[in-house]
Amino acid sequence: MESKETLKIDIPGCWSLQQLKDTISHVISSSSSSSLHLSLNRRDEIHASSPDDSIKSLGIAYGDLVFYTFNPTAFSPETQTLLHKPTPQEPFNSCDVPSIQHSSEILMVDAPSIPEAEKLPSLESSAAETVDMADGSGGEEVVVRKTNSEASFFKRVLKEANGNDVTDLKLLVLAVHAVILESGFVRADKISPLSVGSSPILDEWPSASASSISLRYTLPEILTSDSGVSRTVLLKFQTLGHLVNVYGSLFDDAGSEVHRVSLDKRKFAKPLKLMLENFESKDNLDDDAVVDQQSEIFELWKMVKDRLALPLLIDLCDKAGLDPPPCFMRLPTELKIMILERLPGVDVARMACLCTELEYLSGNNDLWRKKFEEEFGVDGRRAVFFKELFALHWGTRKRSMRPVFPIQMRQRPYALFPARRDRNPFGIPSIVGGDYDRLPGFGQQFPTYSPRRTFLPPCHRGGFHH
Amino acid sequence: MGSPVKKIMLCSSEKEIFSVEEQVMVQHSVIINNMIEDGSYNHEESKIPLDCVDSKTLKKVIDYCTHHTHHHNDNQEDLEAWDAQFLNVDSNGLYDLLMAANYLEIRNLLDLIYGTIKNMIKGKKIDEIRRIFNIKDHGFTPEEEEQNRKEYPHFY
Repeated sequence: MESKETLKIDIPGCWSLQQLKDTISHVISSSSSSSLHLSLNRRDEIHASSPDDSIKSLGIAYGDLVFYTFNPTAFSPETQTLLHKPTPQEPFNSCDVPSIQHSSEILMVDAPSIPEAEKLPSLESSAAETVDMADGSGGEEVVVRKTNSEASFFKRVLKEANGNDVTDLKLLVLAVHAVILESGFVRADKISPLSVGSSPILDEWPSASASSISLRYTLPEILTSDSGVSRTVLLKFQTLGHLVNVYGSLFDDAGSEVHRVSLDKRKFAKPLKLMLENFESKDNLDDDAVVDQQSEIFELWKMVKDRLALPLLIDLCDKAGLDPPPCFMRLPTELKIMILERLPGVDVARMACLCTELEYLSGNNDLWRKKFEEEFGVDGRRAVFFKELFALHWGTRKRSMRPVFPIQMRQRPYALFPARRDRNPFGIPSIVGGDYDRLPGFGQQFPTYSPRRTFLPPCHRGGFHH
Repeated sequence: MGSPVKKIMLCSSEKEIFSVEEQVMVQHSVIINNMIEDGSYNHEESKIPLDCVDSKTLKKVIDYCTHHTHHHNDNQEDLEAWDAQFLNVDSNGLYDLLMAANYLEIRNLLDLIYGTIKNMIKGKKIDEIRRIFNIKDHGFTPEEEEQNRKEYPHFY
């Protein structure tokens, strides 16, 4: 018997395992919490070395799905079968962020039929694990963990809006701010433009109802140069109905070109809000919503990057007599993506380590779909997150006899939740030999964003397929 | 044959004018082919403005198209050797060529450049690629960078 019911529980991360068990047994109206067995991956039971260990220290994090059962042998290796629809679990409230309400889930798994009960390995020691999963051709059974994978630079900035009641305009300003910073700018202080402004943008907001704001940016190289001249660029945000127009130009230089983008609040505010909410709650959104949201965010990023940040960067470097930005990074986004498309999966993962921008670009879900289909010849139409799928298949390719999935999916450092145990319950084996010592672990969570088609330049119809 | 070779005019960002055999560009550039076909190019007065291509790059592009038009019967080895020599440029030159080839939609040239860039990356260490691409500020926090190093030790 197995129930797929998922319970949501809010608990603080400093709770002990016993407290968690008590809570669960209370919720499911069970008499005894002692016969309750918990697991993060339905294989390895969670054991606390001391009753006082916090569940945080045991690796249970907010947003995690925790499986529970009363069958003492339920959680043992080699027991995963497709009979059980994979997944969910439960989270906790980080103690560090007490003000935010998190909800969490528990997937109830009751006594799966188990061929052999083995000694339960401890959570930490489980390395290579064995999980049956359908391959990509099966599609619907593919277990790829849902990810809240936005670019880290968005997170760093957007967390400023956390807990505040921000307007759509403010959200968009913060998002643009994030892209500008990611492009290498720093904010110039309002009063003395020769120092870096550090106060949060929201604190400088002219007034609650202000419909425009100006921000000044400069480059670290300019601040450290001795010229004493403060070359800055000015970004001006203006609301016009549902549009936010952003004008960017060199400050104090009437002759300079003005670069402009128009951002539609109706289009971008919602995905940004969603992303913000995701910091606070890991309630599983449905995958499509995540993918949609990420595609909008990507579009926003690309517009600001190509039409505002890069041109301003080039103008400013030119004016200040600095070297222009690195040539590769000056390429338009389309071309960078086309280069990524030509690379084998391994090298895409390599590119992701180069810089934050490439990290973001190489997280493209459709890019990974393409890589996946190219390198494994499997139609993965029904899967959702292709990078993870790729990593799974990559791991199994050489060991197709055993369904082992050596993957490590690191969640990017979460703005609100400190680094913690690998979110992927399957762990990563430290395998030496074969391909494992030269191939990537694909551990990093790439952001996914969607329809790559939308940023194919009109010219290359099919041109990159050969 | 016999009739004078038709020429078209290309104008670089510096407003320098290049006169090229029509056939050469039509054969390689999808964009120019389209312009000629739909009659938007007037041989008497039109110049094709290529505002985002500088003279140096445009000259290279024309060299490429001309060579590949006139030598397409050469054996593969010779052509490849020529291509290798052709792309023996600094990375700025390479990216300028890439942008130009993309703008003009010259597919062979694009493929050639993509192949070159692919080889620049393949199997290289991260620091090496950063040097090649001249990426000084990668934007990762020290923690993120450390984490990457831990997770992809073979990349570093």
